[in-house]
Amino acid sequence: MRLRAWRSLALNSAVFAALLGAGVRPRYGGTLRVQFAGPVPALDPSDPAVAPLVHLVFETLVRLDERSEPRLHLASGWQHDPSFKRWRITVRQNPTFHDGTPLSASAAVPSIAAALPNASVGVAQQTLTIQSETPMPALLHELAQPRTAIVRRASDGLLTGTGPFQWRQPGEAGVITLVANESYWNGRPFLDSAVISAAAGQPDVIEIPVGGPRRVVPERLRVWTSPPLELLAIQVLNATPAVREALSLSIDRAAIAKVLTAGRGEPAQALLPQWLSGHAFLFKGAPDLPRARQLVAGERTVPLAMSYPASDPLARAVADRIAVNARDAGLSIQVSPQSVNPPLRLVRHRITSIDPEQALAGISSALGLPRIPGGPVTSLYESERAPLENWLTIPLLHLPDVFAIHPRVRYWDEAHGRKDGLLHLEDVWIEP
Amino acid sequence: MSFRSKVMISITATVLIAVWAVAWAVSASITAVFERRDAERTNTLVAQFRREFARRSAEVARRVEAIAHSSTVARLAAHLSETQAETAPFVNDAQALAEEQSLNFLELVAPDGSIVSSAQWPARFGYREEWLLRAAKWEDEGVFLKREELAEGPALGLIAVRTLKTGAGFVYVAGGQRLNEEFVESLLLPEGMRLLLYRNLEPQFSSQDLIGHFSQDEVKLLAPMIEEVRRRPEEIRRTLLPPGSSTAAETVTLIPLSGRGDQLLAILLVANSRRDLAAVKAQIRRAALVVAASGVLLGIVLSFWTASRVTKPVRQLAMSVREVAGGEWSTRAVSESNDEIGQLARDFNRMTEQLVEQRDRMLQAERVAAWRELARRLAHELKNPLFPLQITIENLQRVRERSPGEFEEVFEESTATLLAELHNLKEIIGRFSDFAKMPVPQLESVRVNDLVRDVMRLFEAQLQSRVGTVLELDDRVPVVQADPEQIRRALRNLILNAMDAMPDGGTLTVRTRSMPGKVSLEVMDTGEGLTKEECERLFTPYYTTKQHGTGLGLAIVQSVVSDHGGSISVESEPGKGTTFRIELKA
Repeated sequence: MRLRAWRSLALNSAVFAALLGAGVRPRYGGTLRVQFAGPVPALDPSDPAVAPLVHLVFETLVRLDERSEPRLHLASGWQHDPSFKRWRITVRQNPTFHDGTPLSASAAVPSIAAALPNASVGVAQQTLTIQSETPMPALLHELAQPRTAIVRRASDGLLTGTGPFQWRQPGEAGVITLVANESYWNGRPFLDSAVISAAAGQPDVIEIPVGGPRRVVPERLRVWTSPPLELLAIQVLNATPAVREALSLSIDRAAIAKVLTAGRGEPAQALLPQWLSGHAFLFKGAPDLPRARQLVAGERTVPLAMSYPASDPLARAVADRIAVNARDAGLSIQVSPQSVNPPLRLVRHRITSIDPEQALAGISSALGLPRIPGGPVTSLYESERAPLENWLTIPLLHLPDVFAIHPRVRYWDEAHGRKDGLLHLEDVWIEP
Repeated sequence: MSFRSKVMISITATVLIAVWAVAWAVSASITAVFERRDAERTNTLVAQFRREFARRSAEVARRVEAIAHSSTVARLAAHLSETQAETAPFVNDAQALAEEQSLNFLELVAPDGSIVSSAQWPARFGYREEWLLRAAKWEDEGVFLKREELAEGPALGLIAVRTLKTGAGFVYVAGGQRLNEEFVESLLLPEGMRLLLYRNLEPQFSSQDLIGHFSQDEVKLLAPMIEEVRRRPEEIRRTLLPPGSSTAAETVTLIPLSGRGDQLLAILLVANSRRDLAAVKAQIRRAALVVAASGVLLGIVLSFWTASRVTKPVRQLAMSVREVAGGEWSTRAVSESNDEIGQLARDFNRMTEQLVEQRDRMLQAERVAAWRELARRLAHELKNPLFPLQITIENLQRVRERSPGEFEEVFEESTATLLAELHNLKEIIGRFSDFAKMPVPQLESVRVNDLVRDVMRLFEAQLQSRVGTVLELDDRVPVVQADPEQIRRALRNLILNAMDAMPDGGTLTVRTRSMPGKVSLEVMDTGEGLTKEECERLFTPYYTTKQHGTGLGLAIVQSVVSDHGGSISVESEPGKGTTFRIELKA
């Protein structure tokens, strides 16, 4: 245990040194209290809602760096054949599960097989063999997704992983309690524990929902905003092309972003945010009410129902505003959280990968868009533009995560400089 | 119509008209009183509404004023003083402020007219409210009605505007309360009155905009009144009459309510029940009906009593008149009373007595005239044969005295002449004797057509030579009870007269016809015809138009017809022939 602790300390020496250089000394210990805006679900690697937290407990074979390049994590090496149909992934030997069981390739098979249903997963000693009938050139990016995290299910149903924190189970409903993994193979985290809930007493980190009722942030807390990680869009399920285009032309995205998100959200006409794709600016377009009215004038319009997530106040406010904008174009939209088979649906999708291709694939899958795979011939831009040309999906905003951070929480900005959408609690510490 | 019916109708009509007139006068008087009272109650309620409206308006103004002076608005104003100030932090403030002050509408508007925050429609941030920029000083404008656009449709609000000066201009605080059912129900109404409010927010009338307690049937009745005020915004008063229920009638006063710019935004309907009036009128009607019914009953009773006292003697008098007309000249009317009817009866009796006397005198005179005529005729008839008798005897005497040798020859001639003239005398006397002693008819069943044919055969030879004959005998003529010989005699006389009337020829038509209860026998000629005076005297015994004849033929015919209970008439015009018609009982 002590050896592990020293090793963790050593592994964090780079950090330690940097901080010393900066005149800041990291401290071990303490409990970080994180307050989320809404109910906290259970830690399920397949649930996008907890994707930012999965890596704290359940790790993946591969991780992506700031340039979206795959880096070894629980994997120690990989090989593939020229056709990318057969891969061999070597699993690192030193990580252990939270119950002390060593990580092995065979232990990783169930998680990988469940995450890759179209591939066959075999094991040979400490190597995983992943084969598929179709080429898998982006397998490493997929293996970096939280849903491919290595999870071991114990006989009592409890889940264990290899991450820097252990998830205390069974816990209080709506509360995730993470306890530092003393023998974490990559260095013990600075925090002793972290409690994540919707109503933490005296929280150190408070999630500020973008939009909705203005929350009073205690003066001593500072606001930290992540890059846009969420897409808010309209999914059009039943409307004519002219009405779809008119709707898109009538929406004043800038006013919505400026007012309803207090400027934190970005108007979006692309699926991927600018920081991820680099070409979102090419999708820009101002509202064109005369054109929208012209399109509507030629149609026999009926009131359209728009549904939105009932528990999302921002979605409600955006839906109401869209109804006002659409009315100016001659469209009547009735907003309701409980419409059955509505023609319009306001949806939010969280980007779960900093790899643009993976992110686009995730959005396309979630919104039911036709996927045009990128490659040498088709650029990412074309892959993203094609499904938007018929206005079956109308992007509205890209939304960030916003947290209010207590001054005693240190290294938060640096830990989240990677812009990968994850909460890197393993790298922060708190002053007493 | 009988006298009794006329009396009954007169009395009944008099009673009904009197009752109706009284009922109408009373009803009109009471209606006028009710209308005055109704107008007073309506004015009172309208005044109450206006006071409540003013109170609400003052309350709205006070609350909007409070919001305008709140720290939130002050912060907003200070924030907007900065260049490129973002209004996003204040986008949700209006709702909280509105809830604090119990306002339904609240908008915080930037100096450029763009909405910073809207309580009633939060999604309208950034939209411009140009109307706010048009007034110079909102504090002087007071509280006013305004149409507010909401996501679910337009609404009517009582709005006040206050401003707060900033470096960039004014921040506008426009707030108010909704005029809805709650507002209407907050007013205390006297019993029998109700208040409705029509929000004039749509181009067409819509029952959805009518607030208050009412039924769908009443909407159909109120709609035209509301349309009338919509067309011309003036206060009007109308009566609401639900079909089939007079007690549910109401007087409805419609008062237009306008916003800024005299735009008609609402119509206040004050309904005052006319139930009491209807009840009183019903009571009057019932009383009138009872009185009228009593009057009708009285009329009937009076009519019967009057009739029995008035019409009975009149009927008796009428019966006496009929008897007199039927020939009972000795009839006397009963005259028990001393009134006009009694006097009439006495005068009637006097008249009949005089008529009887006059008839007797006339009969006597006729009898004397008839005897004179008979004597004249007799003298005339007898004189003709007697003169030759006298001449012949004187001639015999002369011849015996002067020429005894010629006496034998003259005696033979003279005796022949004497015998012929004596024969004439006998005929003349025989005819008179026949007329004097007409026998009683011996009735038996007679076929008139057969009898006509028999008589015509007798004259066949005479008629063929110069007179055409036409027989039109109706086969339906029934058998009659008559004396065939007398009928033949009468027919023969008529035919002989007809032939005498056509000395130069013509047409003799004999026609029989069957009539209800009678048989008609007509003899027509195409002779010279008779004048009216001749027709009138035709049947008088010994009257004749011929140079020869006793004038008894038609008198005999009339006597025969009369003895059979029939009648005879003549139609004739000079130059157009003559028709004798006998009608016998079948």
